[in-house]
Amino acid sequence: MIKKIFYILSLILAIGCSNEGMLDDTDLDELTLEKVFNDPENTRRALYDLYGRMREVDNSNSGSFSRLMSMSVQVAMLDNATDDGAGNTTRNAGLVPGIQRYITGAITGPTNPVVGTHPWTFYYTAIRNANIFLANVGKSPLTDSEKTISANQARFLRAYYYHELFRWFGPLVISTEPSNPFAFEDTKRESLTNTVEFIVNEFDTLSMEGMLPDKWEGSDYGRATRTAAMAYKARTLLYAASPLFESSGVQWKEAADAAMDVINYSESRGLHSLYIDPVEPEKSYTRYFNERSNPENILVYLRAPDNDLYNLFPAFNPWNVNKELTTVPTQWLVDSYDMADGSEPIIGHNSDYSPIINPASGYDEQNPYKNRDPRFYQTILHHGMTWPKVNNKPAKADITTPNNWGSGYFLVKYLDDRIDHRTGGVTSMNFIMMRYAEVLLNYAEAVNEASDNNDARIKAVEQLNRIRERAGIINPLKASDFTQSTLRERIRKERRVELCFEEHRFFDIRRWKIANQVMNRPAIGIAVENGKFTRKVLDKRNYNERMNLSPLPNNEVNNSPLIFQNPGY
Amino acid sequence: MRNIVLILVFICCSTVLFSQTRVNGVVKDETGGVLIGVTVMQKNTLNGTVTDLDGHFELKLDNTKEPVLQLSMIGFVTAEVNVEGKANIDVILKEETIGLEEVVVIGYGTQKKVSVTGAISNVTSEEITNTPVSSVTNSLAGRIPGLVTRQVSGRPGDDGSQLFIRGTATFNNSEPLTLVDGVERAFNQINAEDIESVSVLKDASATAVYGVRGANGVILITTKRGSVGKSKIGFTAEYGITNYNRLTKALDAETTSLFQREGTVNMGLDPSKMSNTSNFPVSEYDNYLYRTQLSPFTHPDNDFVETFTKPGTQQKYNINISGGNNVTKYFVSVGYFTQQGMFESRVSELRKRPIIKNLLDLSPQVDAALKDQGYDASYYYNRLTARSNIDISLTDDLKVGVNISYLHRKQNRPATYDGLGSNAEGLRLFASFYRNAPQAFPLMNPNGSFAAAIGVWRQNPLVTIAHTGFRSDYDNQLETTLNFEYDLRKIFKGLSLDGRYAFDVNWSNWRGMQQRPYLYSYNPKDNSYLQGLVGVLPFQDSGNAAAIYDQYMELALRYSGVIGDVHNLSGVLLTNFTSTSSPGGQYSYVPHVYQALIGRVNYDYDNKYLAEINMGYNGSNRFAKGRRYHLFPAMSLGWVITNENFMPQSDILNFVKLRTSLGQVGNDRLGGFSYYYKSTYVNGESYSFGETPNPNVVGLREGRMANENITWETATKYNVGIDTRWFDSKLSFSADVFKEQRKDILTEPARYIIASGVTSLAPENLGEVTNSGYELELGWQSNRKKDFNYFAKITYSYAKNKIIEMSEARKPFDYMYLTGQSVGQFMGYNFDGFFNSYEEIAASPQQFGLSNLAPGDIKYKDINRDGIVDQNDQTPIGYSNLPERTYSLSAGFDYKGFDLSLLFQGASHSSVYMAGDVGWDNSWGNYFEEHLYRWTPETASTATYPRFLQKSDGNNQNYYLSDFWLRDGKYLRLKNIQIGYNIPKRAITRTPMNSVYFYVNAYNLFTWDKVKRIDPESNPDRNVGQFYPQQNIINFGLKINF
Repeated sequence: MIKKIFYILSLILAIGCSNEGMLDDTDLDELTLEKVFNDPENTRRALYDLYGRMREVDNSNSGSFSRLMSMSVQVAMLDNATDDGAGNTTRNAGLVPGIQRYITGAITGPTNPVVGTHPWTFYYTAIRNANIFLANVGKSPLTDSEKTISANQARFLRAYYYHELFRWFGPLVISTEPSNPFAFEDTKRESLTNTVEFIVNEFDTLSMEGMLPDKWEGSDYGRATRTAAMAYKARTLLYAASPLFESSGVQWKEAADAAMDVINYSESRGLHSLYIDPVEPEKSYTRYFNERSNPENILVYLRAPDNDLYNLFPAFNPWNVNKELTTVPTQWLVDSYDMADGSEPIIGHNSDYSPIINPASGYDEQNPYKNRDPRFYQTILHHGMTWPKVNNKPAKADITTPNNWGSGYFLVKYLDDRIDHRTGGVTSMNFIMMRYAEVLLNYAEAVNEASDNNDARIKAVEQLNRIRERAGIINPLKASDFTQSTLRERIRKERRVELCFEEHRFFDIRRWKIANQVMNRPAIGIAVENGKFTRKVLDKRNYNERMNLSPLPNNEVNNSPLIFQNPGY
Repeated sequence: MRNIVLILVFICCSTVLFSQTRVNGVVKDETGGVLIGVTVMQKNTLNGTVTDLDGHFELKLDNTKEPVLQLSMIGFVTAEVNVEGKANIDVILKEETIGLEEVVVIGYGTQKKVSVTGAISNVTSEEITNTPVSSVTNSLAGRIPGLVTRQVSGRPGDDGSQLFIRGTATFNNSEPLTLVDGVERAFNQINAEDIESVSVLKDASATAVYGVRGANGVILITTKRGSVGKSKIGFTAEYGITNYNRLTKALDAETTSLFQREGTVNMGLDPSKMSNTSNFPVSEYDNYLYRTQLSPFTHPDNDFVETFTKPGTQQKYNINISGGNNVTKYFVSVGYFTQQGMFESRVSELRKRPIIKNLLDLSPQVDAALKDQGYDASYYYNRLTARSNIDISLTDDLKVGVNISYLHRKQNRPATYDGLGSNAEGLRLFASFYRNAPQAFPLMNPNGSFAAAIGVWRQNPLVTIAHTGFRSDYDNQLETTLNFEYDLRKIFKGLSLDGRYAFDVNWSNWRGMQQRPYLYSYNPKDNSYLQGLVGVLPFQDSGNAAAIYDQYMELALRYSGVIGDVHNLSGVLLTNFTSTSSPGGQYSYVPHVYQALIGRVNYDYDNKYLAEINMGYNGSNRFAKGRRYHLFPAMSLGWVITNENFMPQSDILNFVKLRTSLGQVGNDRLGGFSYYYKSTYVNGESYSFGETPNPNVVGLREGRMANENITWETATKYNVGIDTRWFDSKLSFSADVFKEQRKDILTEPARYIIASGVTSLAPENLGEVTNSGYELELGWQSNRKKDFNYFAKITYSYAKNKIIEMSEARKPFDYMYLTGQSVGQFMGYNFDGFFNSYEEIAASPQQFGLSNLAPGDIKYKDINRDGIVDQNDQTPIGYSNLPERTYSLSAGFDYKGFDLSLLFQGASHSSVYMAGDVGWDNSWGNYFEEHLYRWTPETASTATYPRFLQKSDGNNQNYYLSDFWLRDGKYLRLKNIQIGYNIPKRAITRTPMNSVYFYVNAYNLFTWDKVKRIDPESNPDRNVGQFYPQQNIINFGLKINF
């Protein structure tokens, strides 16, 4: 009897205890680090991810032109947070908290500037992925040459991410391997000098022979090139030499030399040039933005061709698309465009924001869009202008009709007037990260700042004239007409016009330390009242000097004793 | 039905065939009153009858069987009488002493209630079926002290309550473990008529046997089984009417227009020039048109609630047959439940609604265009349940059981704008009622097209409800259990072996059709139409989810015996194995596996001193090797003071039992993902290279980091309780005090360096929460009388938790920490009135550095007195969503066939966050009654709402989460009321019916609360309109027993 009970007991115990194996079979159908870097295709996909992170996007706005701002509004471009744009002033744009706060000055340390993707978080995530890639690509089954070239691309992208962070925040935490998220005692922000030195050295190393190819062709077009490394080195130095970052110790001459290196290298090897459209050379400026592969590109964020009216740009009345006006150019930007002959129509503004008109230019405030820089018509749609194809017929912008007209101007840069965006043709619309025209402008600025002499001004004006000539401006500038400071203003104006809505102005007004002036004025737009063009105030703005650098996420500063907040927050 | 009659005829005939002796008798109770309806059976046969109105019975005995009668009736001790040679007998049935023989279901077994030492509460089937709801979870509300229920939705087929046993003590899943007939199964949609009892296990002693899964408490459902005796047939039919509890109407178009204007002016904009939020025309003339409704196509005044809702209905039918003999016992039940929702989707009906009718009358094109769609897009729910519980005695010692249950559900609803997706509330019908101003758009345009407006293209309810297609979801659940019980008395008296194997499968599929008309906005100025959403031509689709298979095996050795008359000893040793898999679905490759070895020993000395030791030794494959097994022990003690010799027998104090327990249980429900000990790589950004575009390649990036040390949460629980009965057991009082320490709660560390770039840290066993409280239950049950009985019961429960540790990010001020507060505590700004002047703004702490503040804006307190209100001024505000206190009062009586019962249920110490669609003004152009009392210079002193601005959204400082937007969540509701009438026996003596019972009952009939606009139990998703309002139900029923 006892025996039988014992048998039953042992049976139960046996089932209960001796079957550890039942729980063992736990291999997953999910990817792990090992599985990624054991497989050539997965290794390549890890590199694709790094390219996908060149812009602050996530799944919700992947591929869109929006950046940084709340993910709930995909059409807000960073330029709306500058005096070029007034997206916040129009209907419903209160939904763009990042922009709203940059405009009202409400950016504080605790109220992080960005709701969706904070650049600090976004780019450090990208850097971690690059570091993991660099630490593991050696183990992958790729060929040695592919390993090397892949690693160098990852390294370039990592340096690029650091450069982006530097523009936003100044001094950075630097690590070149996947770092421990809990190393509170060892993780610190470096000095500005070390930060700049690190980024410049990385790009410098990558600019050396054999690190990155001069160009990628065919299905690899768009990957990092040697000139991209050189151009980013030049841009980093330009920023570092600027007033905001002058404590880095970088001299303007270094920036000028680095930019000239790009120009010399590109031209000696025929790598880059300003784009001239073979069919409509007078429209080269606008056509450039719709040519996917293009000699002016140095680094672009490639997008699939689309009809991106809805996602990218605010639609306006002729298009009849329901989308709030969240990206609109201001009168400030319009005033920056020269006349077609190259003369300046407006040489300044009075304290009531009315323009100081240059009578010699022939500019007429009541006929303001006549004879302007051709780039103006290729960038901004204004009252009375006709857009060739909307719903298969030409459409004329008429801001006297009752509608939501925002500033009275509409952005058409990047739009292709050869297709009907409304009915759905497709066109190439890349986001430009670095193009040859910028290199020329970087050089012009740096060389003019580096030395106050006529020789320098000749060099600077020469580059400006190349850009203006391509744009279709009739008369070139003359170096002898300028002093160092008047040329400085002219270079800045040229940069503003040529590169508008390419996310430069936001950083330029900061590094020049002029944001305090230009962002303490309201956005100005245009209206037609009683048949007359009338400038109108669109909003109320407020800028605080501390906003030249953005605040770090508050948790980062609270959690990490050696990561300090930017001053003023 | 015909078959049932045949069976009845067969049973009647069979008794006639054998040689017979006739026995007459009368059955009385101890007071001499005759007992009606006592079942009189000849032992071990199907031969039986029921006493009539005079307590009299007559039975012909089957002479081939033992001449013994069994007399039984609920509330009385069953009697056996030998009638050999007697033709006339009088029997007196003894009233059952309440509770003495009562058995409760406990983990892996049953136990006499008097000897229970853990904290266990139970509910009887009667209380559950009293409530006219589809989900049993709703009928548990207010029935059990310590069980917190929250019904967050009223959608047909998905209106069950969330259940919390003794509140919550974790940041992770706090759902209790639920078992049906000893196997882990959902009971949400089980047919209430099939339930015999519900046990709620609360403390460690009761739940330790469930080890790793017991920490959140356990709910055990036992279904009905057959018993020896004549076949019984029960039939129930119910018809109910449902209505939404709360749904606020928007203000009318004219008021909305005035408010729009006011908001635009407050923004410093010119309402005649600048666009305001939704471009509504707001001039005097426009207001005239809104008021007079002379031009409904251009100036509509829609009442969406009135136009698109209707009372819903529900019906329930159930039939069950049970009975048995020495060999076989059976319980078979079939139930059908159907519920129709509150939205009117039939175009023919909608055409009769005044607002739509007006449009039809004005425009022949509208009349022609608005046609029935030929498909059913209404919200409805059908459920078919079938259950068969069969017990077979193979020999005297070996019994086997076969339980099969099948559940089929169909849920129907409109398709969504985004397609046929699975998010049932994603179409935001609720939002379209709340968001849209009455003049946002006419429902249709004069040319017969469907109307909407810029910004709200998707919110025309006429399109959403009746013109977007439909989706039907089908869900099937088959549950089978095979069990045996082998009495080992031949080996050792009191020893038995039992086991069970269960195999459950759940599969579901759906089909649907989507279509949508084009939507246009009409511009009367130039008679033009602006096209909004593009139409979708009808297309059909269908799909299915991977089936889920659950297997369960159990083997148990039990002993129960008495040694030397006073030592009662029982014990169980049990092993089990659980596996869940879903090939093609989640856990496709690896099933979730648990195994356990469970032991329990109960000892009592002479029913005075009770002791119990429990242990569960569990394994789970959710953890890394070496961390998969753990032992959860518990013990409890009890002392029945009234059984002590020194306690005199008394009529005042009948019973006192003290109990205490302590022990450990675990929780491995760690949120969605199961294998945290592995790191992952996931899809990252997509990119493509090439001079000509190549297809995007999806990048790969680091996902979650791994934590190899991950393990389960451990709860250490203490419980002290007392059970007493007074005054002839009429009064009962029980109390329990508990404390729980939940450690190793899986938490994602919040303090880490962002610059390290990690996106997803592995959770760690970091958190610690304590939870403590008490439960009281006071009841009165009158002595059982023939004509008049009554009862009353009060329960009160309190459970408050506190976060001891949760790895929060460092905060600059101590008051900003959630640590030290309750789980789910609201954190936000402190409302400090409205600014009344610019001087006040200038003199007050700066608000977020904003320069555009004006009188009428909300002023927040500068908690840290640094001169600026910013993120550092957020503190705990209000409570959490989950009430800390719940209480109930139930009472009832029956008098001569009439009966009435009531259940009041309430909760307090919770907060409801009113925001978005339901709280704010003008989030999409809409206003509600409370916005009448907004701040204006004239009403500054009495205002209860901030000034209007252009558009409310969470990024505007007035709408930041602050205590201004929290409402006290306390409520009291008449959860249930039932009035019934039993037709007198004599009226049906000539029919085969045993009893006929008519009743009317109601659910959630009245609610008293401070939330007003929505149901106080609502879910936070209501703020974005993903919500289906809770319903109240008035129900008529009929129960017939044969």
